Order: sequence, then C-alpha cells, then structure tokens
Amino acid sequence: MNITIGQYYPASSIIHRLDVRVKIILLIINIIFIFCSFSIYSILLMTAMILFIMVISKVPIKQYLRSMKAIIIIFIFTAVINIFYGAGETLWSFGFIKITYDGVLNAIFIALRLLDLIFISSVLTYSTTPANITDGLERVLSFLKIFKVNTQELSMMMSIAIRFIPTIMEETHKIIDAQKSRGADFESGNILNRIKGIIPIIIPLFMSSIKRATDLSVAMECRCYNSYTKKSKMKILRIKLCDIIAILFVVTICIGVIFCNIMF
Amino acid sequence: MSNLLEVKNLSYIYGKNTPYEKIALQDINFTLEEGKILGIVGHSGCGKSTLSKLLNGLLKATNGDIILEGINIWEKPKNIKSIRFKVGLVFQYPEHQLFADTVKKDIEFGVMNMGVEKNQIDIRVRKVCDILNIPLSILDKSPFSLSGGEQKKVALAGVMCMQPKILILDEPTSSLDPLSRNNLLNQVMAYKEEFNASVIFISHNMQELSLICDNILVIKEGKQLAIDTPQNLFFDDKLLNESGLKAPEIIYIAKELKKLGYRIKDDILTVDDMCKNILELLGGDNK
Repeated sequence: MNITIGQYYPASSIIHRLDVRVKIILLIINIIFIFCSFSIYSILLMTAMILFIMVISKVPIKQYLRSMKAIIIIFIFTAVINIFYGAGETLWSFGFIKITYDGVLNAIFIALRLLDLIFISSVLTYSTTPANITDGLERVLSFLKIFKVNTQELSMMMSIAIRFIPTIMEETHKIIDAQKSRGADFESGNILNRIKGIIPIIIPLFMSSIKRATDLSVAMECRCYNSYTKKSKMKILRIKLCDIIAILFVVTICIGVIFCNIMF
Repeated sequence: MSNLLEVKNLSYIYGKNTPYEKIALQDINFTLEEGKILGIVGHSGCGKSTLSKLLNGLLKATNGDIILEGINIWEKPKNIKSIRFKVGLVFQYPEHQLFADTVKKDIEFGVMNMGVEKNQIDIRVRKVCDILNIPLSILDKSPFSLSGGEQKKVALAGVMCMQPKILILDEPTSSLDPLSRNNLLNQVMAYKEEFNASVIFISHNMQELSLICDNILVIKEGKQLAIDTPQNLFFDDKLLNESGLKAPEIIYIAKELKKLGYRIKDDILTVDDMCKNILELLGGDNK
C-alpha cells in the first residue's frame, strides 16, 4: 500500500525552515488564488510560482510526481472530458465529437489547477512533519475559540489519528497473513469473492482499533488529560526574516494574479 | 523415519535493493522428521517469526529451498495455498484473527477454504474441540464474548482443524498463566499423537521447550548457532554464553553439584529427574 500524501521528506531547505503557521496560511491563500485565477496568464503565473517553490524545497521532483499517482485517473478524466465541451472555433471534428479551441484551453486550465492544488499541498506535507502540521493547525484555528470551538481537542484528535496510521497498517498486514495461512484468498476469484474476502480482515481490525481506542482513553484519563486547561508549548514559534520574505513573495505574486485577471 | 521437512541454506532479506535492506535470516539448515517436535529459540527480532512465515509460504525466500515431503514448496507457485494447509501457522496473538459471528464458523473457516465436505467438517470440529477441551456449548456463542484464553484456544482450533502435517506455533504460551500453559503443552502433544504430525514450537521459555522438544534450533541475529537435543544444548556452556540464552534453573543446580563431585546424570531436564537422582545418591530412600 502506498500513501504518499502526508509523508515527510527530510531536507534542509528554506521551505522546511519556514514557520508552520506561515506555511498553512500561505497554502490557504494559494488555494484561494488558484481558484480565483480566471485567465490563462494568471494560472500560468501561479504554476510558475509553485514550480519555483517546489524546486527550492529540495524535495526531488520524483517525489512530487509520486503524490500524483493517487489521482492520475481523475486528473486525466477531467482533462479529457473538458476537451469535448466548449463553444467557439472548431479545431477537429468526427461525427458528433468535436474539439474546440475553447475546450482545449479549458482542459489545460483545469489540468493546471488540479496540478497546482496537489503540488502546493504536497509542499506543505513534504516539508513539515505531521506533528508540526497539527500543532500549526491548532494555532491557525485558534481564532475559532471565540465561537467556543475547542481547538485543542480537535488537534489532539488529529495527531492521534496520524500517529496510529502506521500501527494500523502493521496490524492489517498481520491479520492478512493470519487469514492467508488459514487459506483465505484475496488475490483471485471474481469481484464478489474478493469483497467477501475483506470481511475476515475488516472485523478483526475494527475490534482491535476499538479496543486500542478504549485503552488509550483510559490511559489519558489516568494522566488527568483535560482539553479545557491551557497548556504551555514545548516549542515556541517565532516569525523569522525568511517568513516575512515568503509572505511578501506570495503576496506579490497574488497581486500579479489579480492584475492578470483584470487585464486579460 | 523419513524427513517430512527439509530446509536448505535458507536466507531472507527484507527490502532487497532498497536503502532499507536488512538481512533477516542467513543460511538456515535443518530437517524435521515425522512426529517430532522442533523448538526454535532466539531473542526478539532474531528472525524466528520470519522463519515461520517462510515455512508457511507467506514469504518467499531470497535464497535456499524449503522441501516438504520431497517437493520444493515454490516449485508451483500456484499451489502455495495447499502448502498453507499442510503447514499450519498459529500467530503470536491468534485471538486477533477472530472475525466470525459464532465460534463454530470461525473454527470452520480454514477447513471451508480447503473445500472439505460438510459432514466431514463437523467431525473435524468435534475432534479438535475434544483435543483442546473446548466445551461444545460455546460453539454457538460469539467469539468476542469469550475470555482471552478461550479466544486463543478457538483460534488455535481454527488451525488444528485443517489437520496440518506440520503445526507451527509462534510463542503460543506468552500471556498464559502457568496452568493454561501446561494444558496447552499437553494439548499440542495430544494433537501430535492423534495425527502423527510434527510441531515447530517457537518460544523464549527454555523450560517448556526442554519438556516437549526433541531438538532445539538456536538462532542469533538471523544466523543459525546450533541445532541439537535439549540435553546437549543446556550442558554446552560456550553455546549458552554465545547465544545469551539461559538454560532452566535446574540445569545450573546439576552443573554446580557436578562440580562439587557428586555423580549427577547428564540427562536431567526437570525437577522430577533431579529429585530421583538425588534420592538415588542418598541411598535409594524413596519415602
């Protein structure tokens, strides 16, 4: 099994050193502007910036392409479908199928948008450890406190969920092995048999996960865990010069995008 | 007696040709005769569990051969499922594999996959319940309503029910109390007698291995240190030192007494043996 999104890639780059809060906020700004790029020039500008960020993050491009693997089908599907929809000048036609200039432009547009979204989110997950991401999210979301949302609880839930992914993966492998040695077959047979074959894996997995959750909650209770008291932080985050430069850089590009939107 | 299982130059490397490459097993050689019990000892992470997965065909060896009843198990990769029915593997926490809504269905799961006839299955289930002392009244209960020890038994029954020629038990007695442990050892012996099967018993506990094993294989960091009878192993100080394992306490008493010049026999393994020996030395007074 390959889950590449959310895998930290250790390297020493300026992107890795950025304050996690800044990274999260800049990611959100980026996503907003990817969706607010209405002309092809603005999306090209965004793409160029994201490629630049990817290069200076010192994470190999191969690694980024790997995070594409999961959605490659959706990616191709949306791009191809968009080619056939669109008015305007016809480039090529065969029977009722016709490809128009607008359609092709649209397809490129959508493809770039998807690419940008995936790459820029991968930059965050590759350059930040999961623990730091949850920590950062807690701080970024702390404004929700005025609506009486307990952000500490939210981030605790998130970090527990991330922490248990490898454990549950290991557990799954063990159960698969155990059922295989009892002659269970997951690799052959028709689709119905394969779905049936999942039951002997899913049920023990649920049982152990629920049991583990119960144990964990008792252990937390024993250590008097309480999400309502304010906790001090082990790592204190400070905004550094590179954070300010990063913010200025992204803001400049965003102004450029707005400019392109208006001009073209 | 013929060799049921033959293992030749077996090696296994995890993540070959990646930066995470790790040698798990190197050059393991042993044979197992029909009706014999082989113990495997070694520290955690020395490759014992990997070895059991290799024997069962869950992993494929990087090097070397496993020959079962004269046939290499990977000769026809498509037939690997039938090998798994011949070599039954019981994992360390077998209770984690339970899934069915009744105990009976869970025990039957393996046999069903073998394609055995319905009435034959019932006979097999009864027999295995008899050996493992599982009351027939719990067959219709949910396996999740049972205690940990009972769940373990049910999971063991699920494997025994397939009537494998070789039964591999991976630390079956960990987390059992002394009484259940003795019961389990007896039940494994009973299974062996009933089906003339061989058993591979993986454990840390030298005491229990000495009680039931004909031979013991010692592994250290993936390498085979020795394979010998319990008597020979326990009196080989050099080997014990090298492997970092401890013989049962009674062996050390025997060694000390021998050093002091008493005539202690060489085949002492249990407290009972020792008592008899000492009483003999005291003049045969058996009161």
